[in-house]
Amino acid sequence: MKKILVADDSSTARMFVIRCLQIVGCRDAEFLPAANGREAYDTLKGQEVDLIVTDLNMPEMDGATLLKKVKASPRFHDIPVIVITSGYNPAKSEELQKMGAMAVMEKPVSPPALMAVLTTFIQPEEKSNDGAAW
Amino acid sequence: MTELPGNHTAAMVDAVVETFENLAFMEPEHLTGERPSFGETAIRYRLAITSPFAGWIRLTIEKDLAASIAGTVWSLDPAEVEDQLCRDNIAEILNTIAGRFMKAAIPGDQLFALGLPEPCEPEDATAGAGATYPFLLEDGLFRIDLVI
Repeated sequence: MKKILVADDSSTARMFVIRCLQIVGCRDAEFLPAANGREAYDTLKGQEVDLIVTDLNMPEMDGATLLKKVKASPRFHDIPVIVITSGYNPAKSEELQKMGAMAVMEKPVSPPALMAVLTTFIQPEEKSNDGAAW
Repeated sequence: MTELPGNHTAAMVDAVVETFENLAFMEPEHLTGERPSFGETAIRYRLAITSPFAGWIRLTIEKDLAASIAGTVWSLDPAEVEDQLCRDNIAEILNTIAGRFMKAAIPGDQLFALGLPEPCEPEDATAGAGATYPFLLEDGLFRIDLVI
């Protein structure tokens, strides 16, 4: 079972992201919620995580710092990171992708937008017969 | 004091409508010529704009309407929506509105920074507003204030 870490200080935003991921095919994934970047990084230390979906603007440790730590870690740097932010614009997107983000998405995410990102990430052999991703 | 962006009304109305449509599947209607006031029980949140200019975006909403929106988002009966969940939902809506507004209001090659949503007092929610944008939703009212 794939594990997806979802970091956002808003429980509403976490629920919305998880619901979208389930709609686009991640029905069987295990979702690991975190309320900020520090919680997310602590969760990483104890779990084998396949994908990180993180908000940018969070208390204690923001998403940019989490991204920086993940990409600087020999253990975690291969984990793809999707950044979801209300503060999206082209300049911010470019900055975060240079830092190693696989994709930067605008809040609120939609299933089609997530699908477009995940299609580039999930290998064909990982898709099941009914088209579900995970 | 910084001047309001020239396109601020269209940018804010679009940000509010798109946020409610995408997050809550609801369609608020922008009211012109009104500045509704709210009682003590209204929920009030604000979010700081920290760059490229300083200011606040504030959301004031009737509590029953806030519960109805949270119920729609979470697929719950509004009567079952707990206060914390209701407030979390409003904070996230404000966060999304603020980001969409800033994206539309400043050039795409310019970075901007926002604070975190936080509850505010009634006097904070009405003092010194640069612009007010009232909305009608499901027979209830909410208001966005932009202060820069």
